[in-house]
Amino acid sequence: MLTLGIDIGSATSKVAVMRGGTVVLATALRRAGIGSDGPGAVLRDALRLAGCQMEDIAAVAATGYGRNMMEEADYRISELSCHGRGAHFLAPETRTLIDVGGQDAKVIRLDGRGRIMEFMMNDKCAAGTGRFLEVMAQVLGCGIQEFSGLAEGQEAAPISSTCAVFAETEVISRLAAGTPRGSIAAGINLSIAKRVGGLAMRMGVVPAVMMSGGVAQNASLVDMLGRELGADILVAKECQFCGALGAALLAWEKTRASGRKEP
Amino acid sequence: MNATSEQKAPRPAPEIPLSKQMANQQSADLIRAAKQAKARGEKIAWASAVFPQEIPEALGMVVLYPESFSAGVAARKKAGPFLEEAEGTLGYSQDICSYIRINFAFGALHDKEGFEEFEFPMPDCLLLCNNSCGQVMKWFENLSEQLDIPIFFFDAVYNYDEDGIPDYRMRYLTDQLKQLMIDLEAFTGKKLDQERFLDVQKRSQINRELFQQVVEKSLYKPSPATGFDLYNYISVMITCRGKSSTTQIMTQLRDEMEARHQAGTSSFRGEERHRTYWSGIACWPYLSHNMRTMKRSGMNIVASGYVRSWMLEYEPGDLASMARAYAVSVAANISVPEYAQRSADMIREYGCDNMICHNNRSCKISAYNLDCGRHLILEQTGVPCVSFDGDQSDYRVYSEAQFETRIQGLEEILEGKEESGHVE
Amino acid sequence: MLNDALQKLEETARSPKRAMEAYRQAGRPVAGCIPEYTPEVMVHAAGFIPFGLWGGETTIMLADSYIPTFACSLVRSCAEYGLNGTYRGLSFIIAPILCDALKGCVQTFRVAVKDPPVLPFSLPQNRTLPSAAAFTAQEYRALGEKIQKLTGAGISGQAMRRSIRIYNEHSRAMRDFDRAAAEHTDVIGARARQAVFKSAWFMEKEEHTGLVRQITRALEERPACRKNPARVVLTGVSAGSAALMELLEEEGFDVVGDHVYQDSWTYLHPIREDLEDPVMALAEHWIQVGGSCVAHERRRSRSAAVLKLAKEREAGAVVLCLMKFCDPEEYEAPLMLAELKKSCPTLTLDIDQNSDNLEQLRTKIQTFRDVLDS
Repeated sequence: MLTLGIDIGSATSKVAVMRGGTVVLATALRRAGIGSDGPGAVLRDALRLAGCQMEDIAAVAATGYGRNMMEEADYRISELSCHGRGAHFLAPETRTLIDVGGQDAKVIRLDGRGRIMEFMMNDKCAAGTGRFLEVMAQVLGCGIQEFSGLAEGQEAAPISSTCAVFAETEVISRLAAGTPRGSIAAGINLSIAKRVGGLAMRMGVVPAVMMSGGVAQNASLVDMLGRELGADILVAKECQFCGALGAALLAWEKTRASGRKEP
Repeated sequence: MNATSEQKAPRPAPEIPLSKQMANQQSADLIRAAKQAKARGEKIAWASAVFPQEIPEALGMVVLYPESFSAGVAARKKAGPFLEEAEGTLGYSQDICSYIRINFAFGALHDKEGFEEFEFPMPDCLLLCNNSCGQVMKWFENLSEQLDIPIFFFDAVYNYDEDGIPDYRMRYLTDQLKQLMIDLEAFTGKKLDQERFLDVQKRSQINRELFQQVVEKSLYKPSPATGFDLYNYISVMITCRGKSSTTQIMTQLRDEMEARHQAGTSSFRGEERHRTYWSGIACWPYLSHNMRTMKRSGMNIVASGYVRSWMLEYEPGDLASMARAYAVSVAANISVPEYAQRSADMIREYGCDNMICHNNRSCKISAYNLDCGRHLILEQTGVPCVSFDGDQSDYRVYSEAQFETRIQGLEEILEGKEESGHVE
Repeated sequence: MLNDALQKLEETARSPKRAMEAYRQAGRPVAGCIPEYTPEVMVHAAGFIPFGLWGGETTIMLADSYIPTFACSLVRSCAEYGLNGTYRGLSFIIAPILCDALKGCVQTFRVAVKDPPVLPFSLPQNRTLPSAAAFTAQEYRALGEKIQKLTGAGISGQAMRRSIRIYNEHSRAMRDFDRAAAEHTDVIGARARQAVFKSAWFMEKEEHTGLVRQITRALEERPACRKNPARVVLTGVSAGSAALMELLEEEGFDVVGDHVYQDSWTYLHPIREDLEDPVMALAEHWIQVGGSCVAHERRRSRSAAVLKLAKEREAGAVVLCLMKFCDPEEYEAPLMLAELKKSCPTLTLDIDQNSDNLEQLRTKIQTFRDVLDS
């Protein structure tokens, strides 16, 4: 049985196609999220890569903030559950999952079967989210990919403001004072690491700790977060697909449980 | 200090005025007294900033003031780990008062490795007065629950109008002072000596009078001090306003200011082109940035309503007048028209030509007073005014650039480049 | 019958403004009551229709220059409505001083909203002191005198006693409904339940009692039916919007009880009718308040009360409806959550009248459902 998970976020859309709840046939990503043609396009990409048609898919689960717009979905599941399930699939030893998405940061405690025991999300403020990082990268005049490399191994210049607007002026005045961009980037990472670290500490950190979401590709930030938490942080190479994989897995589990026929 | 050995006694840096050295000594003595009291098995207290200290003082109870402690931590730029602990492991929102966040975290970290430098003995009871805000009540409720220690409470009742305190409210206030005496006697196992109580009241009035004289030295033009200086002495009035050591400090400080005036000098290092009324608590983590920026524009703080919160004026021996003083002295416990009137009076009295408002994220009550009262103050005085975002001890909600721009804008208005008005 | 009554209450809860206009057009004077613990009984006894002012979903424009952005949305929207004239037509507003935000709100009305006039009053916090009750009673009397001075309407002891009876009768009706609703979640979903409680703030109590009684009777005639196995109790100052209740329904939750001031919590205890002085009875009602974040207690009792309620109603989870920027709640939340979580899974939802982030709320609720299911 083939199942498909689609994770429609604010900035990206991701799809995973799986067979039998164990084998990943394809994953695909587009940098376009809610309200764009991203979801449709990434769906076509993934089906092409998996070598199948929509009719071959037994069940589709949608997750992410755009999950309710996905008409083809059989299930709409919160991204917390999907990320939790996806993380368990990628590394079953994961007990604490930290996901920093575009709009919010989440910390999830998992049991040995990948079920959520507890979770926390940041409040409405942009501090400690992917959006914060994006805004700061813009100020530094680079893309989000370049940003991570920029910060790598640099001494962090203090960026103390937690408010995105204030942090922006702080970054600008650091630039004006001649602080190297790398140090500023590292400072921004540290600020987010502290913010997200605080959220995790609030819930309590049980190893193993895994990080998912696009921000997990920012190696310097992951490093800093690890230091804040005093724990090693796993980052799977499919970290961005955690939600989509989880959705595909949950679609499979739910379909099997409801005894739906296989096409 | 006993310097018998060949070790040289540490010589104080010459630029620290004697009054400040005395104040530092006083605060070190207070911590030492607290430790000694604990060692003797006596009960010590933590109190909110404007609690009727006369009663514990007369009982010989050592009282510490955690708000002062938090301000000190922030001024020394050491608030970071505390704020992170409070918002992280302890789960408090960043929206609550940062003094209190630091204190909650201190409770969790004080006996942990790496925090030895923060000496502040833990309390056996809590002395609560809500004249400074409503948050202190919730703060002490949590401490009381976690430390399993009692609260002794003086509910100051907010003065929502300008009609004065009606008799029935006076009865409630005075009854509470009487009850505090009974309860604290029972708790400490000591008897309150009425004569000693009267002495403490008298001492407190002498100190208030002296502090007032100090503050009024800024009536001189130019002022012999910067208002930021005075902020450094507020902790004396918070923590020790019933003690004779305070009499010495305030006398010394007053004389130093007078001497500076006579010599034509000032602790304000620039030219006093503008006299500023500062509204709200200091922005402790950025005190020096505030000062530098204002100096560039020739602005000196000569008056602040906040400083007056500890000028509790009453008749020694008259319990009702003492209760009244605790209900009306703090700007946070009076109505906005009253608050605005007091501010406007000071602006006029001290010849201020501008007002700077610290929109303090932590001190919500002062932000309410300011936002609402600013309209009335401006109506009455017509002085141009700027406000800036900051916090009394959370260094993460301040923008140097914002402060600089606003001060510059204010200066431009003052220099007549623009029409007078409020700068947003 | 059931549906008619429910529909009427839902309409009232949805548009308080219309309810207010209707009373005014009928020539009935209406007085605003800002929560919490406002002595509506006195307003009622003076011949006014007490009308709860709970703010609302509105864009803050005018209030921004009087009340900072970090005040709770309840106070900010109340001030906005005051400043933009929405409350004009009310004879007066009474408001308690229970937290710093209310101080700011009251002063904004005094300084910048002349119509309607605001009559603030204080409630003592040192409630174990014997003179606290006397102080409360005197403060209420002073409030009564201010109402009389302003409107000419006096408050007799007889009128007070009558109003207390009417309020106690209403409280009883609300408690009966609350219990019946918990066993008929097929008809009374989270949204309907909230509407019954919310509408009470915007309707004359005599009429409200009648409608609620009709609903309860109709429920009692039906067999008990629990729609969803996921039963929750709520706690907070306000449980937010109807949209939030709808989310809970959609995600399969039955709300079967609450410790929410805006909902049933205010009806827990009757006002004593056996005291000679009805104002003192009202004062004692404040002195007895327990488990509230705005009433100081030697030993806080809220967590225990919430857990007891959950147990009684066979609810497996608690939802803390945390009003954003409500200091008393934000101080209590961490210790309370730790206490609740020891016995019961607990979800925290941020309540903000002016920017409901429904998508984030949905995600949290859905995930909480998954947690409970697994």
